[in-house]
Amino acid sequence: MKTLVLSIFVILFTTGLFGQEIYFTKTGTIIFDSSTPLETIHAENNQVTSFLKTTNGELNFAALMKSFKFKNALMEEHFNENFIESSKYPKAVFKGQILNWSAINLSKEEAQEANVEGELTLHGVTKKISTKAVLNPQNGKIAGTCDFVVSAEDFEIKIPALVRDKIAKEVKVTVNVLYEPYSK
Amino acid sequence: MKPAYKISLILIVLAVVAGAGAYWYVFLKPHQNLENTKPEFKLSSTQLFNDFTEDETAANARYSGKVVEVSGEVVAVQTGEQGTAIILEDELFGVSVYLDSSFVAANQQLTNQTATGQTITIRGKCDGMLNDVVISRAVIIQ
Repeated sequence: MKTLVLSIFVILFTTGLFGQEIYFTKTGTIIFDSSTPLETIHAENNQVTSFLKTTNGELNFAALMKSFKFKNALMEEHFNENFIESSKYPKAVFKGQILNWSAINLSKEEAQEANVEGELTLHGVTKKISTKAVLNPQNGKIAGTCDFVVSAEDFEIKIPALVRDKIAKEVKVTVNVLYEPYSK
Repeated sequence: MKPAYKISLILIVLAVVAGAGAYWYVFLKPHQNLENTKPEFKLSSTQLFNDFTEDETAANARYSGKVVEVSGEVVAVQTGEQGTAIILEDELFGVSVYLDSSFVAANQQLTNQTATGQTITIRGKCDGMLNDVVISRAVIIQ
């Protein structure tokens, strides 16, 4: 934890805290869906923290596994205890980069495509993810959305045989953020 | 009807009712309503944040997944499409509280009145720590 706080401090201070070079949100949303015709499996996390460094397009996401909320309380319990093991691996972290950052114009208030590449750490396993995102600068804020697919197997998440047919192996992940400039 | 039939019929009905009850209880049990749940810990937002910064593993074992009641100064209120978040203590390194949507729906006025500078008490589930301590499904106590 201390290293995380420290690294955020370092990022903030070394990149010029006082310009509008850091955009952040603490209420980003990540939705995942691994529904099958047999069962709707849908969870939403509205407490995702993310930083965007506008000097180079560096991106950071962090989410707590326990903040994923299911409609069904039992499903939420199973997700935390049996699948994602949230006591052992409490958070998911993504560190990446917008590859075509130089082509993105934040003063243009229109949707722009961004190519994102980075490493996602989940359930103790780190995997490379690359996906397309859309950035939409509006009124001094930046809206961002993106979706991609991960497989439970890639992250060594074991699905018991009993429910294997009810849970999709490919999990659809949708990310929604509204960045605000960090200034103090 | 012979008494033996009667008894077995009653037993079958009872078994069906018990089965339905067990199914409901196990598979469709509702989420905890935090308005009527006794918190396991009552503390200030400063204390909670410090506990996590000092030793995150120990603090996770102590608070994570538990119901906590936290008092602190409101530094920001963020209302988005999905819901309302109240930030206590410090905008980046504080306690981030996400309100329960059904609580907000039932207490719109109280939620709207929450403003920066106030000291409030909330009760919610502690999820752990990112750069701030995260509390979800929260209700406003005071």
